[in-house]
Amino acid sequence: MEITQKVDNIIDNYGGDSKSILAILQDVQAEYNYLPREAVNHIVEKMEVSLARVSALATFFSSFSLTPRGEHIITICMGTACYVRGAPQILKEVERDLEIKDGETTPDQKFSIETVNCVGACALGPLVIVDGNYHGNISTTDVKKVVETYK
Amino acid sequence: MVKIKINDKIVQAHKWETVLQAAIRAGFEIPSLCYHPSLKADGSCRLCLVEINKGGKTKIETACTVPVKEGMEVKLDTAEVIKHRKNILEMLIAQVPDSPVLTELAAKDGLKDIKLAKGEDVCIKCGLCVRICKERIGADALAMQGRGPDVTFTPPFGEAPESCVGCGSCAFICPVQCIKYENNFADIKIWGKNFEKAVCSECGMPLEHTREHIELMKSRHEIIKEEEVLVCEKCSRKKTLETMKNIVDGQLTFKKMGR
Repeated sequence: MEITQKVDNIIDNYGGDSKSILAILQDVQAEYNYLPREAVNHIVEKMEVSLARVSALATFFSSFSLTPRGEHIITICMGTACYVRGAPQILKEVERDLEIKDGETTPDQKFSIETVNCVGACALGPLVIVDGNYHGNISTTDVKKVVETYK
Repeated sequence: MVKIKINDKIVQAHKWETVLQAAIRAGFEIPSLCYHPSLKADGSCRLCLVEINKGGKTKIETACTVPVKEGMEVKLDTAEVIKHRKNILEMLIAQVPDSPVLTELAAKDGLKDIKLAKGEDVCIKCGLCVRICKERIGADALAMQGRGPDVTFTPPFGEAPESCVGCGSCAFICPVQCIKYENNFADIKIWGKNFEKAVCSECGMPLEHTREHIELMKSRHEIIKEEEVLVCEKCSRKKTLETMKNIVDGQLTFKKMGR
């Protein structure tokens, strides 16, 4: 399906209400794993909101991405509890394994690495989330194995 | 009207006013960078801190965002306020080291050595440019992007802004003059875009406004008529003179007829 058509469907789900713009952006993000520029332009045109407003929302929330992301998103918690339990080493290990840096995507569009500042599961730290699946109390050797299962 | 006390002086304030507005009207000086009388208060520069006593509780708050309330006691230059203001100024100067406005404010408060590491930013993140573009001009061409220390006030997605009309208000209102703006004889350059100025319909001289700006003003205000706006100062004066002449001539003939 064309991007514009898909975005049209999403907008229709919310009745075209300009108050639901954040929810619409979230749905677009869920569909493509990022906010394609074409989709953003279409939202601006169809919902009669300014590009400035959409861009302010899309850049404010770190759950939105404006660049294409990989099929699997590896989120590493960098909150205080995870940090002191060795999250930086976990991040380094994943970065070395996939040969990309934090915030980047592998050239084959398979993996993206992201860091967040606490997901509210501090007892599980250090914590790695892959596509919404939580892997708690993870070690540098374990994280390699986890990533391997998604390859 | 509401009665409030500012530095032991009793001030009459309108109920819709903020502490800052009431203080300015009463002749007090409060340093501020992000406040503009024609825009909604934002409280982002934090320089207008004052000590407010409401029902026995003392609080340090930004004067530009606090509405006045009957019986409020405001103190402007207590040791506590100056201490906090100096801290904020120090952080602002560390962020934007070469701003004459900030240096002047620092001199007023006796802030000399900046201990914080100096940055290379030119913007103090007050958001005036975005607010004037949206609230007053109506172009909505600029956006606050990102958040926290990495926030930027730029056109959406860092591209040349589509809805910008080249009015230059953002560059004009910026307290640290960090927006690049070129006002030439026949064109205006801003945000990587080049705007041609509209020309006088009588003599062809370039006017102060861009064509796009006039179109936007026309769409927002019915009162603005193209034939009145698209005339330069000289031709406008000539036109007025002619009209006046006609009126005076008309009255004279009328008077003569009356006699």
